[in-house]
This record gives sequence, C-alpha cells and structure tokens, in this order.
Amino acid sequence: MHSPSPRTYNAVNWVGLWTLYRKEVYRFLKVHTQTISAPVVTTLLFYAVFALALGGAVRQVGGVPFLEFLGPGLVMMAMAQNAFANTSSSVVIAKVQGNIVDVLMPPLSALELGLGYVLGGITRGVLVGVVTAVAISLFVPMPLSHPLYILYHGVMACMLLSLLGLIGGIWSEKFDHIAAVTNFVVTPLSFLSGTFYSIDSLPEGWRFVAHLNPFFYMIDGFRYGFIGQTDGTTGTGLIVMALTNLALWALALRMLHTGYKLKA
Amino acid sequence: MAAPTVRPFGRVNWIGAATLLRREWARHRKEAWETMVFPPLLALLYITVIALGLGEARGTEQGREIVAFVVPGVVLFTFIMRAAENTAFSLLLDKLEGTVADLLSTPLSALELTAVFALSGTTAAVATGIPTMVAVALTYGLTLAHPWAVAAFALAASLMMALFGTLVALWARKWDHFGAAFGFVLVPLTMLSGMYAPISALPGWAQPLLSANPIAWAIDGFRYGLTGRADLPVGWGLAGLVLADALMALAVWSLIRRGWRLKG
Repeated sequence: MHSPSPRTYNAVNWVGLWTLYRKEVYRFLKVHTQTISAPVVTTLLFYAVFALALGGAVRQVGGVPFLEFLGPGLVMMAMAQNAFANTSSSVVIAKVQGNIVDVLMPPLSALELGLGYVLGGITRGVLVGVVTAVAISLFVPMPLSHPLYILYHGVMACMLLSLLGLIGGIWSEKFDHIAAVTNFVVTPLSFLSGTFYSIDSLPEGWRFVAHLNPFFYMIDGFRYGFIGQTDGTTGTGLIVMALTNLALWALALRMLHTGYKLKA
Repeated sequence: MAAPTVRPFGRVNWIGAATLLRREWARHRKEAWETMVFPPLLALLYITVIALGLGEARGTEQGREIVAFVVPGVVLFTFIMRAAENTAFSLLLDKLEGTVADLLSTPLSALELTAVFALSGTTAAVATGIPTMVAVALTYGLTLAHPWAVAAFALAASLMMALFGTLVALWARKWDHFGAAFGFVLVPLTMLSGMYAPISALPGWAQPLLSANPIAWAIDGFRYGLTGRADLPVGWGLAGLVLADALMALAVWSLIRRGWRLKG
C-alpha cells in the first residue's frame, strides 16, 4: 500500500473551491422549503398585499402601471434577502457550533474561501429570483427590455448581499449580532429602496437619503432592465454597483486573510 | 441522610407548571433583541413603506385614512407572529434536540402542559405587542376607541396563535416543517386577512373566503378597538375567536395526552 501523499494543484485549488461551493449549495437545498419555496410565497403575498393596499390595479407610476413597476423590485428584494441569508447563516452557524474549523483548516486561500461562500449565496439568490419572476410573470407582463441590465444587476446585487452576509457573519459572535445586521441594515435598506414607490415621488429629504442607498441603484437598474424606465441614471447605477462590490470584496478578503474573528 | 421523598401536591402541580412557565419566559427574554426590539422596528418599517408608497394620496385625507387602516393590522401581526413562534420554536427545539424527554418525564399533566404553552405564548405576544404599540403611538399616533376590544382581541388572537404554534411543533418532525407551517399557512392567512385592505374592497369571490379566516376576525376586531371602524360583526368575531381558542386548546390537550409524535 502506498502512503497517502498530498494532492498537488496549481495556483488555484479548484477541487477545494468546488467542494466548498457544493457544500454551500447543498446546505440550502436540503431545507428548500425554507430557503426557496417560503421566500417565493412570501414575496408573492407582498405583491398581492401591496397591490391591494396601495390601490395598485388603477395607479400608474411615471406612466407605468403600478403592478408592472412593483414586480421587478420585489424580485430583486427576494434575491437580495436570500443571498444575504445564505452566506450569513452559513458562517454564523459554523462559528457558533465550532465547525468553522472544517472550512479554515483545508488549504483554501482567502480568495477561494470568499468565492466559495459568495457563489453559494449568488446561486440561492438567483434561484429564488428566477422562480419569483416566473411566478409574477403569470399575472403581469415582465418584458425583458434590456436583458443585460437584468443580468448585470441581478448578479451584482446577489454578490453585494452575499458579501455583506459573509462580512456580517464573520463579524458576528452570536445569532443576536447577525440578526442586528439583518434588522438594522439589510431589511431597512431593502424596504426603503424604492421597491414600492418611485423615488421621484418622495418628499425632498427622503429623496436625498434614498439616493445614498446602494440598494436603490440595484433595484432601479434591475427594474430598468424590465420596464425600460429609471428613477436615477443607468450609468451611475452600473458604477455604484461595481464600486460597492469592489469595496466589499476588499474588506471580506482582508477579514478572511487575517482571520478576523475567525481564528483565535 | 434522609432518603429523598416525593413532594406531594394536590390536584394541580403548581410548582411544576410555574417552573416550566419560568423557563419559557427565560427563553423569550434571552432573545430580547429578536423578540422585543426588532418586531416593533419592523412594524414601523412596514408602516413607513406604506406611507411613502401612497404616491399622490400622500398628505391627503385619503392617504391618512389608508395609513390609519393599515396600522392596527401591522401591530396585531407582531402579537400573532410572536405568540406562534414562541411556542412552536420552544417545543420543536426540545423535540429535535431530544430534551423533550425532560418535559415528558416530569409529573405535569397534559392539561398543565397545554395551559403553560398557551400562557407562555400569550405572555410573549403581549411583551412584544405593547412595545410595538408604544413605538407606533410615538411615531404615527394611535387612538384607543374601545380599549376593551383592543385587549380582548389581542389576547384572544395571541392565545389562538400560541396554541397554533404548539400544534405546529407537535406535528413537525424537522425544521423544514416549521418553515412550511409559517411560510405556507400562517403568513398567507395573516396577510390575506384584511390586514392591508378592507375586505369590502376585495373581489366578490374572495370575500366569503376571507370572512371565514379567524385571523381576519382578530384584525378586524383589533382595528375596531383602535379606530372604531369594523368591517365584520365585532361580537360574532370575538365569539368565533373564543370558540377557535377552545377548539385548539382541546386539540393540543388531546394530542399531548396521547403523546402524538412526542412519545415512542
């Protein structure tokens, strides 16, 4: 019998990265009722409820029927919340239970770790988004006016929220901490992002604040991909998304590299 | 040393019941951020989104009416969710961790267990609902048109949901079942209950369906208590809720007595 020898690999540990990614995907697929179906149902309920409460059937937002305006924003909210939930819960649970060492011990670089988690989050976000979009398109038209915008903003938004979840998860020492990030940062930013109304219709003060919210740009750009109408400017949205993601990648990689709150 | 003896008690094991109730309350308090701080903030966020999403109706009499209509439902929603989560989470955690044996091996009768869960969920709901009412009163204002109805409907609805949560935990065999019960039953029943729009504004075929939903009776009665406006007969609503409470208590008691999905 040969003695075991280390598997050799080049610059990237592809097998390791693929394994971490698969673990991240299996983790949410195993409880798909909570991670896919329930979010889709809740989003559709929000759709029905806000359509009813805000007199959606008759109203128009900037010449677009309110129901068509609302659809893409709700899809994006569902994607964002689920991408965030995937990475944050994965890291926090592993930290609290102690099995984070199983991820830190293998020969995975900071970039490989980050990619494994973030791609897992993007996968869940996109999956929830596609199912929700298909469901909504059964009720109202969801024209794919600018598919590249839909793709760019969909992926960038899921990446942004996956990174936030990863960073928040690393920072959290217990479930209360990550719940605080969810409730004080992610939920308010996503609800007050212009999903339910056009930013242009807001009072002056609120409008200024809304433009400082990165979530506004991802929802606005994503919606532009469907209805061809924007509350901001499409170019600014593309740049804000790219820069925010770059900054978050830098922070996440730094945390993973130094082992901040991961390695004692 | 004297040999340990059995503590005698009369018809009711008061010390045992009080001990279990204390443990349940400690679980609620330990998660104070999630149980008593975030729900009020989330309620404010929902109301803010509705208020901002009014569009042209903002600042008008009609806009104020819409917000005033939505507020009671959003507030009662925090009672309902907390009551159901409190019992469902606690009992299911015990089941899945195996610590339910500690509960079943104590000299507590099925009736005592049922009473403790009902009381625990109701107490937790009130402990979450009152801060929510205060927060809403300080920001959007809250009237108390009929205080007795506010108290009666909040308590009857919380009790119903505490028992519903217990039933969910008895039925569930894994966390996915918990997610399904909330995502596919409780949240839809709550959101489609006249919470955001008057039942009379719904399509004709949907009205009888909604009028048969106990959560709709609860929200309507609670709204009557706060604002004086009722869409359904208030007295019948309260009678219906009390009947639902009694039937669910009977169901919980008989299932616990048989040890359904608890023993064996």
